[in-house]
Amino acid sequence: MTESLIASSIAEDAAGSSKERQSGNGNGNGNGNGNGTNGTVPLLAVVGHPNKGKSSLVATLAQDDSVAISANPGTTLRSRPYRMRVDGQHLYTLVDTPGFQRARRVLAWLEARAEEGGANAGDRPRVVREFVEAPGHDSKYPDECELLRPLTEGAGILYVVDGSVPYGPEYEAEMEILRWTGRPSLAVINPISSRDHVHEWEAALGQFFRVVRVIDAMHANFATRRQLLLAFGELEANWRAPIQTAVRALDQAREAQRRLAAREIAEMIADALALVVERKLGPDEDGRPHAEALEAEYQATLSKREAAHRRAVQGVYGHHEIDVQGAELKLLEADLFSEDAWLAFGVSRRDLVTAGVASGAATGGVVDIALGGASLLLGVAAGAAIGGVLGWFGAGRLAELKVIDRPLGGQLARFGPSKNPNFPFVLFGRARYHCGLLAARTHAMRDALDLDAEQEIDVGARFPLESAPRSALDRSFSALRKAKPRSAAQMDAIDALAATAAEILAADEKRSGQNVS
Amino acid sequence: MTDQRVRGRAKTAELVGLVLALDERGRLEERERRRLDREIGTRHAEANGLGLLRAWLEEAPSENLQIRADRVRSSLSMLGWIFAAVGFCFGWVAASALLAIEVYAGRINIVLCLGVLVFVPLLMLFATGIGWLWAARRSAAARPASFGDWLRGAGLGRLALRLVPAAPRADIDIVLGRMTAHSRLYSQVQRGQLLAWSQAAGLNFGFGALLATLTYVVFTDLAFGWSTTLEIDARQVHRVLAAFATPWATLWPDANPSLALVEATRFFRVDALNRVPVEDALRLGGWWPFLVMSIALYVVLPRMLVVLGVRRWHAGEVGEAMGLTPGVERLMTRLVTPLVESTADEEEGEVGHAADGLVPEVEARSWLASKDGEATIIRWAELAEEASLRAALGEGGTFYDAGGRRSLVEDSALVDELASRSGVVVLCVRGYEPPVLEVTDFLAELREAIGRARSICVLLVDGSEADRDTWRRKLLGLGDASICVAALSLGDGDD
Repeated sequence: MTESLIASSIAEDAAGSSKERQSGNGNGNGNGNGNGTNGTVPLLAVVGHPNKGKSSLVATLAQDDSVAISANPGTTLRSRPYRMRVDGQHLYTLVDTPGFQRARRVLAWLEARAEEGGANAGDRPRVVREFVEAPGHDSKYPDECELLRPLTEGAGILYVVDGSVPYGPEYEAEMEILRWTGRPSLAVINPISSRDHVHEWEAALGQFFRVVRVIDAMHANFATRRQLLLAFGELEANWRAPIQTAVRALDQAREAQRRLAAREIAEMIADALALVVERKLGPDEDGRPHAEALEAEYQATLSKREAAHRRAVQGVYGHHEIDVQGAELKLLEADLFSEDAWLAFGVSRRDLVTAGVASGAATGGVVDIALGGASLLLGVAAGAAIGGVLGWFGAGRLAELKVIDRPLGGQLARFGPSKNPNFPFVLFGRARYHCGLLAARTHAMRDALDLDAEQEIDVGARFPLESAPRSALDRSFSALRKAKPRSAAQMDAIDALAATAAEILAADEKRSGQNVS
Repeated sequence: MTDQRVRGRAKTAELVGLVLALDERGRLEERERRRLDREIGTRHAEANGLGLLRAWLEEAPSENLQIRADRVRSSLSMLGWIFAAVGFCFGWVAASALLAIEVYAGRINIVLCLGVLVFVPLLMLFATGIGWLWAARRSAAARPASFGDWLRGAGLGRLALRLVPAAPRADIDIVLGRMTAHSRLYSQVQRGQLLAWSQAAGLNFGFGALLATLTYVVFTDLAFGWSTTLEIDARQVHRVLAAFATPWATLWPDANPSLALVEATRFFRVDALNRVPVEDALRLGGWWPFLVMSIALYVVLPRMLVVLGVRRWHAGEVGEAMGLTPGVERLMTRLVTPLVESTADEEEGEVGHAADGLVPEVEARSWLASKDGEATIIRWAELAEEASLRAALGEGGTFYDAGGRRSLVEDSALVDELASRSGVVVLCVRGYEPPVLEVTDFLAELREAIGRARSICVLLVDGSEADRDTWRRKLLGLGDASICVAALSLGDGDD
């Protein structure tokens, strides 16, 4: 079954490349077809002992949520190819394989066969191919046949071990079989639960593999994944170009993800800053009794919009099925209007006062300039004082209830839009935090994050906001407040905010090692 | 990544097409949308900004949408023609009516003609310019009503839309609906379109007036004159007219009224009563080149310049609106970002499932103590030192090795040897390692050799509770009722 699967994958590649050549869309470097050493499309088989994180590594590298990952060994029964294509151009294939089950038996068969036929070291790959093709082996050694078949078809080896458990001699038969295939190889130490035995493994694997990398398949960040891909490219001389093309495309896609996420954030904040909820009142009706209900409606609407925004950002990062649970995400699930959320994500009163002073002084300065300096800089001083006071006292209130007369009689109780200076910072902080989690999340993560619920997550330390981006944000928020909804001015302000947000997200990724650019 | 901001000049029809095409694209599933858009982006890799957006507009819409967009385009164009035709008719009718009435009255008052056919349109042009500049200074957001509102509301807009056939009218409604939803974004565009149409109407008013005048000149013997009750010297009037005619005076001297003509055509009402001799009648017609040139230069030419200017400005506004249209930024990202696909082509096939149930778990030391005979203890894959195992399990028992670096032949020999012994068998394995078939094969071989009566305990050295469950489930698959599992912790290191 898998035989036909891999073969059909290769056949499709060949057909696709032929089509590309005919339509003139090929890249002209001959990378469009073939596989392994026969062609130039790298083929990498992820092999190893069962339950060492092979599928997790594949899910992370292929960014595929559909890979079956389980704590139970032997979940993967068949080889499954993951073709990496950029704009339809096939650049490499990863093959997830079942784990070794009867390594010593297979090695014994190979040795016996080699001895029978008087095979020398150079004949060993042929002996491995004979093993895979031998009648009955598909049923007798299904796992080994599945995992060795891609290697006989020219795949490179990506051998995965668990760095959290000690090295054992039972692995030696596996590594010896892999050596018999004669394929270029790379070993990955995946510290599933700890790094206690990583050095031990490095020493052992160094005897069998030229390249050994330590990669946590479950939590590998973008930069690590990128480095691993580049290491693939070094396994064979003609693999370098397609792998580098793939890495460049991944970099561009990553940047696009950041920009799209930043735009989602900017649009959500613009939407939130313009939000008002209203209720019609009678001519002499008192609006105050409606204040609580209107505020509740306002908060519910905002929460709904924030949730919709999060779904959109998750879509941008390809995490459609994310389980929004776990301690780290609890911060996001906390009520948007709770004091905790405001303390965690907002800026301090002191920062607000500083921003208010700067903003007020700038406004006052305009007055001074208009008066040609006759005001002796009183405008700056007064503006700074007013801005500071507003920053201090405005920090606590979200929005206010207003009762306005309607043109055709009656009144309107209106809650919002929020003038609170901290409000957009809280929204931005939460959205930024959410993006940070998504950017760091691999596709191997299936369960909710299992972090200690009592653990204090210092958002301020993990996502600091320098004064320059904070000022840029402040300017964008002010522009958004002034602009009418859906006006060109609002669009311009959204553009500016999205640009600032993209820069902040890029800096976050760089700080957390997600971004190497 | 190159700068993909959409800048430049565009037509309203392109904006309409963009709005409709984005609506249509929005109905596709995200992955499909990305694939299709990136394919277009790849085909036009050399284009960027507005050029790339235009390429997308050429290829992205479905055939049905292209037809609809064409219908809307031609309807908008038809509206433009209607405005132009209305302007032309107004010009024709105004000039014809004026000339006809005046001809009927005897002589044509050239001052009245200039007033109606030149000064009034010039005044309107001036007022339009002032209004335009005033509007341009104010922010678009501050303007009260959008063109969409106006066009959908009462008055000329509704009338104009009624002239459009039903099918494109429905499409225009979609576009106007979206434009109303983003009225502040599109208000400048709508205003600009109205301005462009109104200026085209103004230009065609001039053409209509000019053509009507020329028709009268060709087919009627026009007699012009000027008159005033005031005591104004004809020379003063001539000076004003000469200044007025300066632009064309050298090119067409006949179109510059001479002092003699000005003097000769005064008091025409009195003259008209006395019947004009034929030779004088020819002279009275000498005003027509001046009238024609006045209309051409002071009505048609300025309008033409304004039309060109407004079109240029409007095209820039449309281009800007296209860049700001919600969804365009995402579209541009889809067009220029490589489409990376790395997921499996096929669904995950059959996956392995552990047996439903567990083999019994025992406490190793007490289990061993409860069994008769000397136990056989096998260390699998060189697991742990004999001493540490003995310390944990108690004295007694004979130790053997299997698995790991030992060959299968050695394992088989061990199995044969154990067949001749009595007592229980303990197979010590690393609990944190998964139960591979190599181990279960060995257990099956061992069971066959020692028979069903002797108990086997698989001692899991180290490993978690989850690991133990994994082993217990796996061993259940052997269908061996005399097998059990025990756990032993020796710490991380097994040496």
